[in-house]
Amino acid sequence: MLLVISILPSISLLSLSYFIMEQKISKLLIRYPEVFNNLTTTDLRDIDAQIDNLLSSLKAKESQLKSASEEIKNYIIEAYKNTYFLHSFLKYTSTNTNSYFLTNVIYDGQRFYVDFYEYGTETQISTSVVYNDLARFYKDVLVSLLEQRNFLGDMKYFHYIWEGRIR
Amino acid sequence: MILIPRKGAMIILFVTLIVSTLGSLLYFSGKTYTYVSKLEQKFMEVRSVSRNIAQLETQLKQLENVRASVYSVQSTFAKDEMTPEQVKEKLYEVLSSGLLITDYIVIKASLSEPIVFKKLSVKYTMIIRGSE
Repeated sequence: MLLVISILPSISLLSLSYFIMEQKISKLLIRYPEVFNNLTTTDLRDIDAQIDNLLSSLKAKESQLKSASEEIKNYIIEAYKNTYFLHSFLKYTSTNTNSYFLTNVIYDGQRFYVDFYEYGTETQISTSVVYNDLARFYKDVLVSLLEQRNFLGDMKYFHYIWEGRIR
Repeated sequence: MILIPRKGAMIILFVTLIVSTLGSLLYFSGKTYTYVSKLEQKFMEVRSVSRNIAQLETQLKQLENVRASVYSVQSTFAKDEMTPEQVKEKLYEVLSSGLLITDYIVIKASLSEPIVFKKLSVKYTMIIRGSE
């Protein structure tokens, strides 16, 4: 009899530990409302399984959203490639003080070709900057200063061509 | 029946009491701690995935808006005798309306000589064809 009594504290600790565990889980649920709001039952015995289910459904949703974003992103990039060289041309030629004479633009759905002259005492177009910019979307990019010549005092013209193909 | 002295029995009982209490205390606290910390890790994972989902949803909405701005000209735009200003205006109009889907663009000046271009008026031919 005394032996049974002597192990009673350890038996009561079993109940106490369960009680403490419930308290801790309740506090956790308060700290994580995104979990609490997605629980279907408040039975703490199957909370583990519920969290596993929740996690797997959230991960499935996450991967679904990722692939949807990726698909739209690719579509937008493909559409952007159609006119990006023109955006670039307007960006570089409208942000400086030199004059420009556009002589030819050809785009056939795969390749683009831009031919123009820049007028000024110094060129304000950096071929490497333009090259790096265009190379983000196009392959076989060529940004070339074909000719540079004085034509009025120290005024020069710079003949450029830009070429490239859609990746 | 084996008889043991009262003192011995008391010692055995006392030792059993201490050992079983300490043992169960250590076992249950360890088990509770492990279980709760594992659960918290899962909660943290749920939080992080939920936040990712919220970000992705916002991003997706923005991308949808951009996709809605993708357009294709219904027919072919073709015009001769355009002034440089008209060409510039048309280009800005086409490029600022959204993302144009096209498979053919031609802009050709009537002159290609660089020096005389300011003395003579330049006319452009512009063709933009939409594609699906």
